[in-house]
This record gives sequence, C-alpha cells and structure tokens, in this order.
Amino acid sequence: MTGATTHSSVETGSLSGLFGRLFRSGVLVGSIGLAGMLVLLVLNLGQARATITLSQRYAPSAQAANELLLGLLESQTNLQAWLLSSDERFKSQWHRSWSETITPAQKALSLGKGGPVSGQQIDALQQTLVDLWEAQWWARELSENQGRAAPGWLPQHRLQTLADSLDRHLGSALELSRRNTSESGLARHAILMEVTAATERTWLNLHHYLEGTQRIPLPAILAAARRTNVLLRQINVDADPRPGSLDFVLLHAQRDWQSTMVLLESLDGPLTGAQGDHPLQRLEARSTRLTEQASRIAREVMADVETHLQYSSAIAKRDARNNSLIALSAVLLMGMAVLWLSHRTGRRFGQPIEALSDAATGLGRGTWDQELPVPDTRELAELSEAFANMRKDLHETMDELENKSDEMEMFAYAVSHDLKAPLRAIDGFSEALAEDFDDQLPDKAHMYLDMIRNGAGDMGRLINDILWLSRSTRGEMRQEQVDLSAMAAEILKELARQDPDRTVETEISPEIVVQGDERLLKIMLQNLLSNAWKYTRNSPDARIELDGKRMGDKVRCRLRDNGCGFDMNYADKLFKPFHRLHPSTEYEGSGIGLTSVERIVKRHRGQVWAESQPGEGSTFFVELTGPQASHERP
Amino acid sequence: MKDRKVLLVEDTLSDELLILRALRQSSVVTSVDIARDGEEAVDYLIGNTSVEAPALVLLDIKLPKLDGHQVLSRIRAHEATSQLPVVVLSSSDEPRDIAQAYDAGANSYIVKPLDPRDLNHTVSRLGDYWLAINTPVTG
Repeated sequence: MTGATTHSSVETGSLSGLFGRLFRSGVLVGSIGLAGMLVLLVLNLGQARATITLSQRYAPSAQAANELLLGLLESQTNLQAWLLSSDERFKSQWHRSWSETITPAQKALSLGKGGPVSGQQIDALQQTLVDLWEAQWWARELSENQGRAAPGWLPQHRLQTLADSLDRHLGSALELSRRNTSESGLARHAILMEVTAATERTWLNLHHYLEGTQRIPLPAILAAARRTNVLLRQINVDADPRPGSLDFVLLHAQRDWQSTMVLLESLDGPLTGAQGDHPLQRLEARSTRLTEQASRIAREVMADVETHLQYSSAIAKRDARNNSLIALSAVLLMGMAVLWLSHRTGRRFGQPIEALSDAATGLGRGTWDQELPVPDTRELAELSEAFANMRKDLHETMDELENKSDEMEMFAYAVSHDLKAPLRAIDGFSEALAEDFDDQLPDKAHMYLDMIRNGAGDMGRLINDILWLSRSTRGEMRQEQVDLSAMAAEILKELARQDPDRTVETEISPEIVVQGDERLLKIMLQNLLSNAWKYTRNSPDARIELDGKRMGDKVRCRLRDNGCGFDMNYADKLFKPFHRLHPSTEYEGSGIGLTSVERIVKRHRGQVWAESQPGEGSTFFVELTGPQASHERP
Repeated sequence: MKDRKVLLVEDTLSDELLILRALRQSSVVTSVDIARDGEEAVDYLIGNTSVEAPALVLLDIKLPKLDGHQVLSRIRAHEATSQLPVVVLSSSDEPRDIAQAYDAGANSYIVKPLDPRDLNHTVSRLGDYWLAINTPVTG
C-alpha cells in the first residue's frame, strides 16, 4: 500500500505537466494525430474483417436449422407412415430419424443469442422442441408398450373417479371446518382452502395434459401435486374418527390424494392403453402441430441468418470504402489527440472506479472474490483498500449469520427427527400394551394408559407447533403489493361464517396496501384478527377496527378491538412463544399465534407492538413498508 | 405378487418393534428382512446376489453411515434395483424432506408412526404401479 502511494503521487504530478506539454508542442499533437489515424485505419479494417468473420460464424446456424427441419419432417413422415401401415420398418425408421434429429436440434439451440437469431426465436424453438420431444417420446413409449395395455387401466377414467371423490370430500371438509373458530381450526381451514384450490388446478392441468393440449409439463404438475398432498397430510386427523366428522372426511380426502399420487406417479412411467380415440393418435396429432411450429421457427431462423449475411457483407464493403475517406480527414488529427488523452485519463480514474462499482454490484449477487483494481493514484488506492476491508467484514458477518441460520435448520431437523422418536415409542408401546394385553389389564391400567397416550399426543402437537413456527420464518420471501384491507375483509367474513351466533361490528379503512409476501402477511392478519374475534367474545357490543396511515415509506396499521384486553405489565410476554396471558380454560389456543405474527413482521423488517388495558380492549400496531412505485405493475 | 418380502431399513429399536407389529397386522407382507444402517441396506440390495430381491423397501431417512437419501439414490442408480418400489418411512413431515425423498426417487412417503391401514392402502395403490413397471415388455 505504501509503495503504491509513493508511486502514484509522482504520477499525479506528471499528469498536469502532460497537459501543458501536449498543447504547447504542435509537433507532438501532429505525430499523435498521425499515429491515431493509422490506428483508426487498422481498427476499421479489423472491424470489417470481424463483420465478415461473424457472418461466417452464423452460417452454421442456418445449416443446423436446415438439418433440424429435414430431420423433423422425416421423423414425422415415418411416424405417420407407421401409424397408417402398421409396418414395423417405418417404426424403426421413425425411431432412428428421431434420435438423429436431436443432435442437430441441440446444435441449433447452442447457437447462442444476440446474433442474427434473436433470443425469442431460440426460446420459442427450444420450448417447441421440448414439447415435441415429449410428445414423440410418449408416442414412442406407447408404441413400445403396444399389446400390454391392461383393459380398464385407463388413467382418465380412474382419475375422474378420484377427482369426483376428492371434490366431494374436500367440499364437505371445508363446510365442516368453517364451524371451528379455534386457532388451530383456522389454520386448518386455511390449509384446506389452499389444498382445494391447488387440487382444482392439478385436475385442470392434468386434463389438458391428457388431452394433449397442455402447456404445463407433467413433472411440474407432479411436483405441484406432491406439494398439495404433503400440505393436506399435515392436518392431523386422529382426534375424531366418527363417520361424518371433519376428521373422518379429511382422512378420506387424504386417502384420495394418496391414491391420486400413486396414479400420477405411475403416469410418469409408460402409458398404457385407453378407450375411444387412442392416445397415440392424439399424441401424433400434437406432434404434427408441434413439428409444424418448430419447422416454421427453423425456417424463420434460416431466413434471418440469410438476411443477416447479405446485410453484413454490404456493411463490410461500405466500411472498406469509408476507410480511405477517414484516412484523409484532417479533423481527426485533433480528435485523436483528445481521444488519446481521455483514454489515458479514463484508464487512470475511470477504470478503477468502474472495477470498484463492478465489485460492489458483484456483492449484490454474492460474488465475494471479484478482483479489485490496484490504482496508481493514492486516493483511489485507499478507496480500493477500504472497499476490500469492508467486503471482508461483510463476508465474515454474512458467514456468521449463515451459520446461525444453519444451526436453526439443524435444530428443526433434530426436533422433527429425534424428538419425535422417543415420543413415538411412548405412544406406540402404550397402544400396543392396551391392545395386546387388553383383557389382562384392569380398567384402571387402561385408564392410565389412555392418560399416557393423551400426554404423548399433547406433546406431539406442541412439537408440531414449534416446527410450524420455525417453518414460517424460513423459506423464500416474495415481494409483492398486498392489499391488507381486502385480505382483512375476507378473513373477517370467514370468521363470521364460522361463528354465525355472534354479531361483531367491523370497520376497515379501504386500500391499506403494503409491500411483502402475501402468504406470510395472510398468516399474520389471520392470527391478529382471530385473536380480536376471540377476545371480544364476552364484550356486549363487540367491535373490530382496522385502519392504516402512510408515514414516509412506511405504513402503520392499527387494529383495535374492545375485547377483554390485557395487563400492560405483561406486554413483554405477549409475543413470546407458548406464553399466554389468559388461562387456556377461558380462551383456547397454544400461545404461538402472536409469536408467528412477530416473526413475520420482523422478516418484513417491520415493527409490531400493542397497547391495552384490562377490560378496555387492545390495540395492535404493525408497521410495514409501503408500496414502492418501481414494483407497481403497468 | 407371490412372495411379499419386505426389506426394512431402520436403526431405532423401538421404531423397529412398532413397525414389525404394524407389518404383522397389515395384510401385505409375508416376510421381513432388516438392515440397521444405510450401508447394510446397500450391501443387501446391491452387493448380495444370493438373496432374492424384496418386493418392497421400507426406508428410514435418518440412518447411520449412509442416510436414506443416499441409499435411495444408489438403489435408483443400480440397474437391477432401479425400479424397486421404495416407500420412505420418516419422522419428518417437513415439506422439504418429503420433496427431497420424492426427488431421489421414492415411490411413496409415510410419516411415522406406521399405521397398518396406511401401509395396506399405500401398498395396494402401489400395486398398479408395480404392474405397470414390472410386467415384461412385449414386442
């Protein structure tokens, strides 16, 4: 560092001297200009040559597109010929021409964007080829498995039966779960609503997929279905097994989903026969459509490349002509001198600053080792070193944070895997004891065993609650504009529907819009509003109000109720997990609702606090970031 | 399915006993072999040619030596066992763990404790899948 400083101060001194010398000496200007002129001449010639080289480079893309086009047509013709004639020779030719087409297709795709072939064209071609490949692959699979189609093994038919059953079960589950307004009931209802919506989406996508009109590939549908299945399975259904109960219906819905998954997973394997029009015919029709599409794009690519080649050669000719004109231009003498100066200044000041700015941008992308400039002026060298130090500190802090979050992950992993195992032993063996030695045990022993199992069940639910809490603070966070007013109105409507015996006056200011993750903010509002709903239970004229005020770039929301309130002396316990300010015999709940609220608000870098007096109601404040203009949709 | 032998990969003794009890109550299993860690399971399935392959693998995720995900990827990577039905049996109902199991090639995922009805149900549904993948290809 010290060496660089000494060196750079000498250089700074010589820079101003250079200006003086440069403009004093006409000879120097003249010779620099002459040199510049020569350089430009060479540069121009080089550019012309580069244009020609570039054009030559793109010639193979036209070639590849051509090969692809021919290959597609041949493969399609063979497929059709085989379907028409059932002649096995066409089938093997189709298979051969298809696999030979893939190589030029990949070549065409690797052409790169930014040349004569636009990114959009490449994307469209790629997508079409993927679709086409899939359609032909299915057709191939189907053709390989001809003859082993089991009658009645018809995915559409079986899926339809399952869809009807699921529709019925989820419908009645939703109907039944509306009646339960407890915290866990609300959470379950929210999950159910999500599951129902996701289920409908899956059936719709699947329908399109099987009809051959899909835009969504099967793996994506499967992945979504797996997520829905998992989501539904999170609901505990062991409490009330009586026919007609919510748990009973949910159990059936879970079973339906399980069956659906098995069927969907098997769809991912080879497809077997179908009734009516053969799936192979549908695939063939789809494949024809896609072949046409791919051919069209390939033809466009060829045309574009050709136009580009003609254009480039015209430009190259013109450039060559221009060179002689430029060489004669006397104006360039001065121009080149200035160019040379600015290039030099730019190299000394511009380049290091640009490099620093690049490194700073790199930080945003998580690049920690981008090379820093070693400038030859003192100020820039110091700036560069300060940046290096800051980057090092930041990197260390980030690593530390990452370790902490890894520890949290490990904790959640340990809880879900290790803590549950001994609990399972307690519960499982109590059950085994009760069942296997049923008549040998006195009634009292059975009663104690029941109590052990109840305790184990309670502990299991607590563990699940902790896991749920830890899950709400992990995962990706999206940034979108969220209309809290509309969301609150919807939640209150739902609360009122589940609790039809109560009359609660509600007032929501319109258009409280904030920036954040819709899913998390909904959980936050659900917790806050259901608390307000719950704690106003014994108020004669129950009232819940929500309003919002813009404060700079923040929005402060205020949720007021006239419920039983709480003692401000315990306000610090309000957001702590599993702390309750009211006995659970009076107001039910596990004590993690407000903890979730706080976690969610903190993840949004906001603030939450509350004011209250016993018997006077409570007011909750949530401060979040307001909508940002840059995020607004046009 | 004639011989419905199951390979159970499980390291916790209490879980093993409870699962064996559930398997006795379910109707789908005729015999059970047990591996107590991931390496043992891989040796049994891939290294050992003298033993007839099981009809189903019940695989725990948290295992000593190789964990369930690693065992599953080896099963899928090995030609002879690539299509062997594997049901993952795990404590965790974390969406990420479940997605990871399916990504590694699990055919189904059951959250512990194992309910014999659950197993019957899963296995009977898996039956269709086996039928589809295990019938020899004709033509």
